Formats: sequence, C-alpha cells, structure tokens
Amino acid sequence: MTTFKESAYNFPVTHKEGDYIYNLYTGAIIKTPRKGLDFKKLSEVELELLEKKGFIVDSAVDESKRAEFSHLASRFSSRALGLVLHTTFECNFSCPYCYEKKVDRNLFMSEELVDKIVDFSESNIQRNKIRSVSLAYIGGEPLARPDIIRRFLTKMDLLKTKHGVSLSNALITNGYFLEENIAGLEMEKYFNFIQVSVDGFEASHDKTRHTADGGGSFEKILKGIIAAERKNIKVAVRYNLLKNNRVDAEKLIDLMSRLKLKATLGFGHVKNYGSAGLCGSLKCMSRPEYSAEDLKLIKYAAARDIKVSLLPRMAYNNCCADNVNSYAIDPRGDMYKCWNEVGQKEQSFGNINDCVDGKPALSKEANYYKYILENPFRGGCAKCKYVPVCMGGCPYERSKGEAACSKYKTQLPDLLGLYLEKKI
Amino acid sequence: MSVELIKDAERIDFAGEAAECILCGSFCVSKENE
Repeated sequence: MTTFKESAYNFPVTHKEGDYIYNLYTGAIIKTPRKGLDFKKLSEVELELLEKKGFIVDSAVDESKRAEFSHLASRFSSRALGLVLHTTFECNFSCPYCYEKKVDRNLFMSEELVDKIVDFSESNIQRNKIRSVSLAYIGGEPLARPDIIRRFLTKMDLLKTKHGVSLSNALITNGYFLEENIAGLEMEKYFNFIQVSVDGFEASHDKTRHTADGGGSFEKILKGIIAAERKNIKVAVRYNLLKNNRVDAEKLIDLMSRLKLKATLGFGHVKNYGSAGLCGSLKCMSRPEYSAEDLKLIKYAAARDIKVSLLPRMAYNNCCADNVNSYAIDPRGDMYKCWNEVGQKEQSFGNINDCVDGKPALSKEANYYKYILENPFRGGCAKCKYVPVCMGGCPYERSKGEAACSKYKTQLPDLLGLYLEKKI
Repeated sequence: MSVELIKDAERIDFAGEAAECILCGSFCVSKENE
C-alpha cells in the first residue's frame, strides 16, 4: 500500500481566515478546513484528489528529481520547433540599454534567406515529427520591414496547413509602426500576441524612445495599442522598470484604466544584458529593489482592473537557449542559442544556409550546447522550493555568474492573496 | 468533502514539455491574469 508524504512544493497561505495551499509544481490551489494536511482526517476521495493535483506524493518519490526530470525532458525534446527571427537589425529608435549595440543596422533578411528558413522548418517538421511551431519576430524593429514578416507569415501558414502543426506567431515590437501595419499584416488573423515595450509615461518614455530626429513616440505607440485592441489582437505591454521611471508607471496604469485597455501589463527588470556597465548610467534596480517595486505596481494595477500576471507560469525549460530545437536567427542567417548574443558572430553555432534535412549545422558546436548542458539542478537550485517555477532562471545570466533568483521568492504570499481576492 | 479545489493543476505529469511558446523566457509578459 502506498504511503504518502506532503509535497515539498506545498506553499500554505492564509487569506481572510481561510487556509489554502498552493503547489509550486502543479500550480493547483486547494482550500483546507484547517492549517496543513492531517492525513488521518482525510477520506479516500480527498487523498485521491490531493495526489492527482500534486499536494501529496508517494513517500518514495524525490520531488527534486521529478522536477529535474521534467526540466531535462523539455530541454531535450525536439517535438516542437522554436525560431526567434531577427528579420532586420534596422531600428528607428536608439535605446540606451539595447543589447544589440554592435550590430550593423543596415542588415535585413533577404527573400532567399526567408525561403531558406522556411525550407529548413519544413524539413525539421518532417524529420522530428513536429507538433507545434513557435515563431517570435524581433529585430532591430521588425515592423521597420513588414514585407519580410509578411513573407514568413504566408509561407509558414502554408506549412501549418500542409503538415497539420499548430503555429504560434508572436511579435516583439517598439510599437511605433504598429497601427499602420495591423491591416497589411492581417495581425488579427496571424498573431497570437504582440508585445510592446515602453520606458515610461509620455516625457519619460520619449526621453529614451525617440526617433532619430528627437521626436517623441509615446502617443503614437498608444494609438497603435488601442488600434490593435479594437481588432481583438492580444497585446502585452512590457514596462522597462528603472529607478527613475518608477513613479510614471502608476501614471500609465491610470491611463490604461481610464481607457479600459485590455492589454496585459508586466514590469521588466532592466539589466546589463550584453553590455557591461550599462546599469551604471541607467539607474537599474537591484533584484530585491525590483521585486519590491514590481509587487507594489502589480497591486496598484490589479486594484484598477488592469490585467497583470499574478501567479507563476509553470516552468519547463527556460527559453530558446536551453531547448535542443529552438534557434535564434539573424539577418545573415547565423544561428544562435541565446538572443542576447545575436549579432556577435563568435557566439553563433552555425548558419542556416549550411543546414541539411532540417538539422542544425554545427560549425561551432560548443556554442550549440553550452546552455543546454548547464544543469541548474547540479547547483544550489535543486533543493529550492521555487525551482519548479524558475528552473534555474535565465541560462545566459547563470553562465555569467549573474543568476537572479525568482521574484516569487519574495512576492508569492502577496500574489496568492491578490489571486484569492479576485477568485473568491 | 472538506478539501476544496480552488485552482486546477497546470502541470499534470512529470515528463511534460512546455505547452506554450517559451522562446523569450522572462522577457515575455504575455501571461494574462488568471
């Protein structure tokens, strides 16, 4: 007969005199009649439910090993294809923290290169019996060259139909050219979501996100977001949070509330990505500072019915960098594991033009698996309660010795309270 | 029954793989309010 123990990932929380448990591995929440789980007082039906939802586990199971297995299975799964497409390095802005400082802004993907990437995708789908394809369009500013995106959208959609795969298109944009491209790119038909980055509210945003001639962009970007929402396109707004734009974040929330915008709002932690010393001039927040301010803003936004992410997303592998069949591709066709390194040719592992039969060409194979083989469970993360929602965090940061612990380490009790407040 | 399920599990097995696009890692803020 199986004996059970409480999951190591159970996170108890009290809300309005009710006792709840959130499980960090499965994401489920239960309400319990009293604090903790008293096995002797639980019925067979309750035990079955608790086991199914991860709150109790077989005493013989090491849950840390289970989480590690889940992480590695996802890392080494080639049943999905992921492409981060840097369609152009051209950009109409010159943001001070851009990690692509050294790229040639005149480069963009040729029609031949787009067709080569589509051919690679088709071979890869057939070779690996792919079920889902995820594409993220990024630049430079991808909407500076909508013709390239259009070519991808049309051709990849044909592959979707031909091979019966699910296809997800995401667009990461500064939003400046959003409104004028909604119709031309049939965004409501093709895009699962669009993420727009902002740096502040009106003047504080325009200070860093201005056009080459110094013109502001906030108003135009806002018009683009509103136009996208009118077409029922899912929009996520990423507010790059710094010490000196913290106050303005509340102004943006107030405006979104007044306009009844449906966009999801998230606050990004600006760090030294790809440019050492950057944060000295930009007033970046430390991780604890960011976690505290992010939480305050989430509360402020939630109180005004702005969509914000409250509970963690269940983590498997982290990103493009640590999955065997995900690739970032630049306008030259050079392939990378981490998009922070795109444009730094020495970090590339090969070129799409050398790929045969949907297999990545590994001219510098060490660059291909440097992130895939870096296992956070071999370090201090294995015994951390938060590892199922973090899985070690950003592989790039870890490789630089700059690993940042999950914000949920400090925010979870408050976020669960907010979630329960809305749910119950 | 005295134990009540408030939110269902998102991860149901231990050998799963990401069900949604995770290309952009923590840069992505698209997850909506639950």
